[in-house]
Amino acid sequence: MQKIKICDNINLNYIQETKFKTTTIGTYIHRPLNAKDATKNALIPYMLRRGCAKYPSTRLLEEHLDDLYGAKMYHSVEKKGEDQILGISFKIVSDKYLPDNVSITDSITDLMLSVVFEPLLENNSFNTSYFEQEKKTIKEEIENLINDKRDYAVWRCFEEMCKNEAYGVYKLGSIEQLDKITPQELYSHYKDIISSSFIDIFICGEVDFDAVCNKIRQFVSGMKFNAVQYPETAFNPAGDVKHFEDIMDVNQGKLSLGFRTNIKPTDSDYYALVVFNSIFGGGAHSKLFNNVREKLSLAYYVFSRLEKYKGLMIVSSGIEFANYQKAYDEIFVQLDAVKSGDISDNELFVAKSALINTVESYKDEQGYLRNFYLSELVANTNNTIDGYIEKIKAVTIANKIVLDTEYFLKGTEA
Amino acid sequence: MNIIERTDKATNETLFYTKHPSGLDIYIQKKSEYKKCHAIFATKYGSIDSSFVVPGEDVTTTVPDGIAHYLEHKMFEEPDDSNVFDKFAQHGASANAFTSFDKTAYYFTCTSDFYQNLATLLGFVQRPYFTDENVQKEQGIIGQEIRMYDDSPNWRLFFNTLNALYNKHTIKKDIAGTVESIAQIFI
Repeated sequence: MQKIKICDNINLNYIQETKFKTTTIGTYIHRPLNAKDATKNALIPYMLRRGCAKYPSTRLLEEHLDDLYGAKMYHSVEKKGEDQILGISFKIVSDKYLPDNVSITDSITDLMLSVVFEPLLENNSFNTSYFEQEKKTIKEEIENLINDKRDYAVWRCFEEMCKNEAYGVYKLGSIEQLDKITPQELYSHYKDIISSSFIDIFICGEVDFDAVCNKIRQFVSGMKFNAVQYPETAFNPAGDVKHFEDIMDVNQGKLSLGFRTNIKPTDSDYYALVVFNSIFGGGAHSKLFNNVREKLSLAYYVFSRLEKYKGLMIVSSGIEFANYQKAYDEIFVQLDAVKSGDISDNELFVAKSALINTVESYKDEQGYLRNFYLSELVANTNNTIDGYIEKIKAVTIANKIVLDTEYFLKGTEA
Repeated sequence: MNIIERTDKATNETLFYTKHPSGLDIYIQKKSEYKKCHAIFATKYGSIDSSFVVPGEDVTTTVPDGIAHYLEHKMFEEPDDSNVFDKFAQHGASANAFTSFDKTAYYFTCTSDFYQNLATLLGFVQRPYFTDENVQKEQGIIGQEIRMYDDSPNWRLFFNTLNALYNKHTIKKDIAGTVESIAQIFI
């Protein structure tokens, strides 16, 4: 990846790869996650996608995308630790497939800059009817959280676990905050964050990089920015173990266990933690899969996953209500086995192989490549994929994992 | 075997096709600059095929709902009591399978040792190994898979629609069957 500083607030990152049939380009705005601003922040990419100065309605904007050989536009709100990342991105057919040496990389760069930096305005505010529509969309997305009980149970555990921390805020914020926002206030917030946020622009594919770079540099040259850095994520130790239950009309119990690993991505033993998680619950080779599922038949899905930036680990499983204790106990038998080093050479080997296979595969997909490199920037680890693989290969096991929160979603009859 | 090649002019990618003497259709899509290899081995047997006449017999055999999916799970058992996931894991591959209305498919992806992984795929799918114990053990696992889908609004909406559309067709049955129907599956 090539990283170029456009100005104090903006970096341009180029992942050059000739094999892709598409080119992706996106802008990612980093905001510190907090309850006060999260909802306002989240609304911004939803508003930006509706129109811009150059294409002042959704219809005109969509027609322009169609003219660019069916270009696609995406809006996103991601959470990496306590960094809330607002994204506007595009996918176009690679210039090399277009007839008569036409290039649309130029046009899509112009469009992205207009969408992000020249939003559609009326009376010095966001368009009222688009604003109401997008407020409703976000409201429904927040309300939709409860529909997928697997994700819901994972989220509820994190929410309770990090109740007094920024990480406990949902990536789209809350409906209470949403109801209070006006289009005027949102536009004023937009102006604040554009000038006071760190911004990454990513391009993946094959483009005339100097031309894109100059275009962006020229576009932002008259704009004012206050120099900032990536938002930081706070680390807190686990206190007493907390236990939460919700009762709903469900058919399967959903068990979540939230742990604090106390390991930062920049710590030397972070890669050991990655391997630890893989052995413990990171796939069909793991101890959780082979024991909770294959040996005891207690579950169809059971896995552990790391939240890299905040140093958390979650275990998630769908079980019979009555098997709560059995599943819980077995999860801890397996956790203790990994912690005490009860790991065969073969388990270590296959866990590393699985991780390497996953990361190598990122090289084949633009979305994964962008996510890998953005993650490395946010975590300040700055690995290449091959560098990351070397660190995984070098791992011997170590850990400091502590249980923080138990969460169980159970049925009305349990 | 006669191999047919078709090269796409726009992308310059080639698809190879041949028919094996056994009747198996084989397709190979070359992606030379890519890291990941993917192989899938599929048969035209799925959840709707619950009544059939076995070749050489003249009566109809009816099997419990969800048996195609149950079979998919059980193909991963090996005669040495290991499971095939371990064999794939040894060579850095990630394996999985799925059952649809009319197909069962087994597949893996890997970034190394492709031919060893391909041999594992072709081997295990053609080598069933069932014991009372390993068939029995799967009931708890698939039971929880069914319960998981019971809590999925999208899946329920889809099958409620099929139930409204069809009266007798077996497409209205859940692919994994029910906790009751899979309790009737024995070796």
